[in-house]
Amino acid sequence: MLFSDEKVANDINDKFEPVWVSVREVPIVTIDFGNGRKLTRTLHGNVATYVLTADGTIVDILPGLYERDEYLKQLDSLFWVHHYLPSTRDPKAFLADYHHAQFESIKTSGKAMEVRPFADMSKIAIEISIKTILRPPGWQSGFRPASKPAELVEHPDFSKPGELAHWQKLHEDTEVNEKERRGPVHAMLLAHPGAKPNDVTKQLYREVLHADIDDPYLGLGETLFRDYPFTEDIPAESIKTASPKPVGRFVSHSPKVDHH
Amino acid sequence: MSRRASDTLALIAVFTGTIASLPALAQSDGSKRTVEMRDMSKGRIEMPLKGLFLDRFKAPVSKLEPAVTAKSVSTPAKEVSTPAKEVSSPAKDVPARAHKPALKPQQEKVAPGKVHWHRAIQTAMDASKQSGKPVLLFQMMGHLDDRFC
Repeated sequence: MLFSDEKVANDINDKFEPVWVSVREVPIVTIDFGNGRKLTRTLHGNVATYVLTADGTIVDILPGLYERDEYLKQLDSLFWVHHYLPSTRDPKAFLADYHHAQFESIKTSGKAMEVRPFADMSKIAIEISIKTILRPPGWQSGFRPASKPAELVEHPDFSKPGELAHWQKLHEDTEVNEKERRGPVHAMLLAHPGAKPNDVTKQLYREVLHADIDDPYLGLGETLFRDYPFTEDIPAESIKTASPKPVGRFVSHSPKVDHH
Repeated sequence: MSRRASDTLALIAVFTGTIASLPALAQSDGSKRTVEMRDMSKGRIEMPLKGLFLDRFKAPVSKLEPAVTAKSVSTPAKEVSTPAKEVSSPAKDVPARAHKPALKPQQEKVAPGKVHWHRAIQTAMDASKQSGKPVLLFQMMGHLDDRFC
C-alpha cells in the first residue's frame, strides 16, 4: 500500500531505478469459518529497502516497513549519499566511514546523523568526506517551521493509502526500525565492505529482521509446534533434521535463537 | 464439538489473535456467501512472529469488506511484472510431505502500487548506469503483485 501512495511513487520514480524481488514465499493463514466466510491474512513477512549503485554495491539498507514521510526522508538521504560517491577519493572507504559514523551516532544518541544535500557539486571546493555531508540529528529543524505532529489512529481506513500516514502501528515499527534495527545494519555493512545484496540478505533477515529465511518455519518451529496436538502433521523430514531427541509430543524443527 | 476440532480452532485462533471475534463472526451470518477479508494488519508483519503470538490482537475483527477485484485495480505500467529471482528461494527447501504434497494456492494478482518497477535487478542496474540514479531494491517475502504479501 505504501507504493500506492502518489507521493511515494513519484519520489521513487524521480530519484531511483526501482525493482522488487521476493526472497521467499510469505506464510498465509486462511480461516474457514464454515459458514461461507473466510478470513485470509499474511502471518509473517518482512521487507528491506536497499539502495544500490549501478554495479549493485549496497549503499545502505532500510530494514522493515516505514511510515511514509520517514521513508521518503530516509530515501532522500540515501539518494544524496549515492550522489556524493563519485566525488569521493575512495568510494569504498567513504561508505565505510558513513556506516561507522551512523553506527556510532545511533549507539550514542539513538538517532542517525542527517545527510546534508549539495545539489551542485561544482560549488564545493573541498573534497567530499563524511564530515562534510553528515550533520547531527535534527540540524535542519531549526530552519523549518515546526510542523504539527500527525494524529495517530489505531485502525485507519486501509482503502485510502494516505491513511497509512496516521497508522500508529506503522509509526511504532518505524521507530523500532530506526532505533533498533538500523544500527545492526550499519555494523553488518561495515563488516562487509562493497557487499552486494546476495552477500548479506540471509544475515539481514536472520539477525536484524528476526526471520531466518533458511528455516522453513522462519525460526519459529518451537513456538508453532510446542502445543501442536497432531504430531502426525509435522513433516517427517523436519523431524529428522531437528533434534534427535524429541521432547514429549513436540519435535523442534530448528534450534531456537531468541534475539530479543 | 470434538476435542480435536476444538484444539484446531483454538490453534487457529492463537495464530491469528482473533479468538474474541470467532463466535461473533460465526454466528453473525448463516448465509453461504463467501466473503474474503482484506488483510487488515500489515503492520504486524514487521513484528517477529513470536511476538505476534504472545501479543495477539487486542481488537477483534469488526468489519467484513468485499474482496478487491482485479478490475478495480488500476492497470500498472507496462514495465510492471514479476521480477526475476535474484535471491534463491530457501522456501523451496521446505520438505514436502510425501503423502500429502503441498499445493501453492494461486493468489489474485494486483498492481504493485504506482511505482514503475523494473523487471529484474539487472535491468534496474543497467538503467542506473544510463540515468545516474541509484537502484532501489525492495526485498520482501511474498510477491508485491500478490493480493496477500
